[in-house]
Amino acid sequence: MQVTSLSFVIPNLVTPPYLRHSSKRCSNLAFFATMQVARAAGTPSKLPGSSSIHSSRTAASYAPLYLSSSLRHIAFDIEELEGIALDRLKVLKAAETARSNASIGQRSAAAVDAIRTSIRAAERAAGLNIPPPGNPTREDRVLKDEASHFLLRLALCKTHEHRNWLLSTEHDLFTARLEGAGAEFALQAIEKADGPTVRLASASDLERFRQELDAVARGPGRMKGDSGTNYYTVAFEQVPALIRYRRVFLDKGMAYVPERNVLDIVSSQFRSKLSHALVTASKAVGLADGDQRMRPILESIRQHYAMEEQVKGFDPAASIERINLTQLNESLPAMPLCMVNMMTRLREQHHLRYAGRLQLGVFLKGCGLNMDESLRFWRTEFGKGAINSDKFEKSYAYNIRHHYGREGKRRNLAPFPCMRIINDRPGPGEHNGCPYREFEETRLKQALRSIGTDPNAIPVIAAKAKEGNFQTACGICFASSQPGIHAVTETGMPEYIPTHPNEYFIEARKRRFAPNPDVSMLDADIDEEEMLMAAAAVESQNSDATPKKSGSDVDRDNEVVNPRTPLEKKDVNCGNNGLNASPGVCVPDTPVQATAHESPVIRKRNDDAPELQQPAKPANLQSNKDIEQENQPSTESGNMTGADRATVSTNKYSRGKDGSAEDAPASPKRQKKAVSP
Amino acid sequence: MPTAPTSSPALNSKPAPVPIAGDLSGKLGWYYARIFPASQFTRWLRYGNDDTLSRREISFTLPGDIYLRWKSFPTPSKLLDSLKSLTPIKIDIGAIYNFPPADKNSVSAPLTPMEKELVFDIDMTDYEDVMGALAGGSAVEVCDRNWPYMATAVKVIDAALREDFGFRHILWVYSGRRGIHCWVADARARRMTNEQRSAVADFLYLRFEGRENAGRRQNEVTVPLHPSLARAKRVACEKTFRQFVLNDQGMLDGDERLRRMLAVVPNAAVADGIYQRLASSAGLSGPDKWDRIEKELLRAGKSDYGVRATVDYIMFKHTYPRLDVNVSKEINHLLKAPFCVHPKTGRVCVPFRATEVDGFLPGEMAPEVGSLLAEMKEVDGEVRGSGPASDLMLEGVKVFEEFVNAVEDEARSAQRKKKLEALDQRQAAELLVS
Repeated sequence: MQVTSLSFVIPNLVTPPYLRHSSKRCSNLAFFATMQVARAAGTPSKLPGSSSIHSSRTAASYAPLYLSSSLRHIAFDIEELEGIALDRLKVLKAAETARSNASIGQRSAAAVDAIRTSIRAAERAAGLNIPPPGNPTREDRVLKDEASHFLLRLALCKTHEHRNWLLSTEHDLFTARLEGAGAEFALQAIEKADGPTVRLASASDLERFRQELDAVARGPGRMKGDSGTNYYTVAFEQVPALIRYRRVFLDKGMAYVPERNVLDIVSSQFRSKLSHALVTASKAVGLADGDQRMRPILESIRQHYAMEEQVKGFDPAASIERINLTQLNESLPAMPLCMVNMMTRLREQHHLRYAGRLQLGVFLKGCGLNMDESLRFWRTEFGKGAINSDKFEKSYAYNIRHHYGREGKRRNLAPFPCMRIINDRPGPGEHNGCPYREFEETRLKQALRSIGTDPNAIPVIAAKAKEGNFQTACGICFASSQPGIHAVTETGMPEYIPTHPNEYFIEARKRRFAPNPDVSMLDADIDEEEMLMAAAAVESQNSDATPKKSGSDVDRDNEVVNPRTPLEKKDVNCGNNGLNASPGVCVPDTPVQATAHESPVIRKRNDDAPELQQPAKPANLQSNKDIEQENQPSTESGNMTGADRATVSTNKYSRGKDGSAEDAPASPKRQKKAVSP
Repeated sequence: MPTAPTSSPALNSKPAPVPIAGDLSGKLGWYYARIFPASQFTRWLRYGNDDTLSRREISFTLPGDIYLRWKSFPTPSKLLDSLKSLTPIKIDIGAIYNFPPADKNSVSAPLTPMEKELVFDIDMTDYEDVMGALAGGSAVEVCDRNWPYMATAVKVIDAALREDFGFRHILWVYSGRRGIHCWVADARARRMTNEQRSAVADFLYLRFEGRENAGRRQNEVTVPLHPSLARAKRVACEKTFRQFVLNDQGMLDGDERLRRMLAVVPNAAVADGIYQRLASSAGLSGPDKWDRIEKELLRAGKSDYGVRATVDYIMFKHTYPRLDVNVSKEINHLLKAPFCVHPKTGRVCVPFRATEVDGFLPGEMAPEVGSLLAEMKEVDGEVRGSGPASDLMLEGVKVFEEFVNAVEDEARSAQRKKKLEALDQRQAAELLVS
């Protein structure tokens, strides 16, 4: 059994025990690595005997800042080490999930509590929680906690993304552990961390600023009972989170922090120390990676981190569902509301401000548009307004090329995930951001109607948005506007909650055009009747012409003008498949229409196969005819860059229709399962 | 608006066919040689030693929108030579890095920003939705007519920077067309991290929904107001709102504007009631109408917190500084240097005193480069300017010089302190040894 010592990762090392049973070459290297890493971990070498654990431990809490470690001369089994590191990874993953499930819009005490509760639960499940002093397992657990922390620090310090992830999840874990600790603990920890000077505000200061402190304490979103509390003063730089939301009173650079917020100073210290340590560690990690015993552990951690990322997240590179410019219009109904909104605005105003161009631009890139196509797209849309080709080249083309990493830092910008979109809030005249967060209720409902969301779901979506559960709202919208069966959880919420607009787009396109009917069949529990109807739907798809082939003629035939919805102001393309011919079906807003809406529409087609469809599916969006017209001839003549791909995609697209059961009508049983209010 | 790239190759080799209005390039040659306050400018960027200047990123925009980034200059004279020979139409100042940015391709270590002034950028275009009678016209006309918005912003931000954050070395600069810039040069401000910058920017920023999103009221404007906002109201916003917004802009004149102003009241019934009552009293002046609205809102707000907070919300929506926060949040963000000449207006970006901002009407107070050159004469064998434009320029330089002197004093006393500490340590060590 191979044994290694964590002295390798952690400082406080005088004689590394593993030196005794390592090959000479390896041990020299490892020893060097140890010293580097010791420095990297941001830890001053301390004399044996001084340990963070004993002094930072109180009866109430165990929340180490990991400034130094008690791991010395302790040998670990390598597999055991890997195991505890992966246990911690699970806890941090749980912290991440808890945060993204919590309502972002509100920073309510309840939301914060919920996050902390789930982190503590995950901690217990992984056996990483620290029992109170006196418990015989405590020492073991503390060692396990430290070992796992330092291992993750080493494993996940290489890239910016890893560092940020570790920083924010460790920070969440730290604050969860900090809960319930008193100001006394906080002040001690700050002192230990060589942190900023924190002073108890004097009675005369409190008297002088009584009115101001009271005004801050009484605002909504702040906790009651701040009156009579102690205040501590600290330099404003130390409490950025409190400054940002105006949660403290400031006087000449000093923040007056109420007693209960003193813990925030500690967690901000934790964050900045860890951030610093991670950057330093990233410079030395190559040495640890070079050690034959450490490398497998670190690699395993990285793999586990990435594996779960792939399952959960969206990987633009892995996307097979790429579209080109000619397919943009038919793909509009598969876009999430944030993108639909910007597309609509762009086509109304022939302009988008910088933040919108960026958000939509990288999204379209993620959808598959190449740089030339993107430039053509933006140039055409802007060209319909006041911006001619010349001005476009001068003022905007740089931006678009920048999205593709052809300018500036030459960094290939990744499409933004939901969290970033939610937090990038639009200013006046801007249309970026998350509509579920930004739109006022009436406008949100209107927008949802205009993309053909099931009218029964609209109030639920609006309510979720109001609560601040933007992604859940988006998930319900997905379930009630995209075709197919949508699995739900016990709470009645859809199982699929989008975390990335491109992921939404791919999922929606799979449902609309996937070659394999299983792809989005999350629900395996389908009865015979459903199977039959699904089969009918498959047949119907055979006959269903590839939507875009019908071209703009069909679009014009189906023009609907509905003054109620902003999306439909101009020539409205009522469904690219030519399915929704009636405005009543497109935009139902009465219960009667809603009922009609839910029943399948069956039509005969040329080859006598019945066509089944869910009318709620296609969005009513203005078509981008100019682009089509501009592109189609070149597609035919074959001199366009994307011509080949266009053909391929079209074929795949038809195949998708062939094999798809996604457009089957909702049977009563499915209705029960599908999300409905 | 073209957005300044966050970074770019050293030379954008795009052909530059765009001719410059008049002979700006020639004028700029003279301007940089004779009028530009070179010594004060470089004294500022040195912060007491050339090393600081040499690690500072400076970027130039040349005629034809050729953008040169990542330049740095080891000495003041190298910088000045470059200005004279390249005659940039715009100079941008970036961060102080760990080594000279010009060497970034020859040094293997990553270029990391270490320090930069805390900066703010306020642009008149962000006020378009609250402009009434004084909207319209060219960018310069809009700015000149609507200067009270900028004046209010200066008073509010200046007071907050001094009183809330304790900063002292603050420079306000007119941007040359329709905006203003602010540089906070205290050592403490220069060392701030991105997180701290972004916290300060958010502290000084109020989010107002656009017309599109009217109705989703933000809870940033609270009752009672945060002390910083209460001071903003006291020192400027309330007065500007009554005198400028309600009177001069006439933001309550006419049905549509009245409706629009009331659209943010969270309770539609209350808003409608007020609208009905006011619609019948058309003869009232703007401020008189507001008095009524305020009374009604406060009455209805006794039982409705949201309605109560709307009073201040509306006032702030029309007057509170609208920062372009992205400029402030990142340490490596570039900002146009003072004393550039705006290529479209010919106006010099002159500093002004926050205390005199009301009297600083850019149309009258910002010297124009053509007039400056016309006023140049040879006196006693030396070329000098004298006349109204030159006096304005002189005034701007004076404001700048006061700022630079104060900044240098701070840098000098910091150095002295450092030296003393080092001395103390050495003495202590010697004592120990003996």
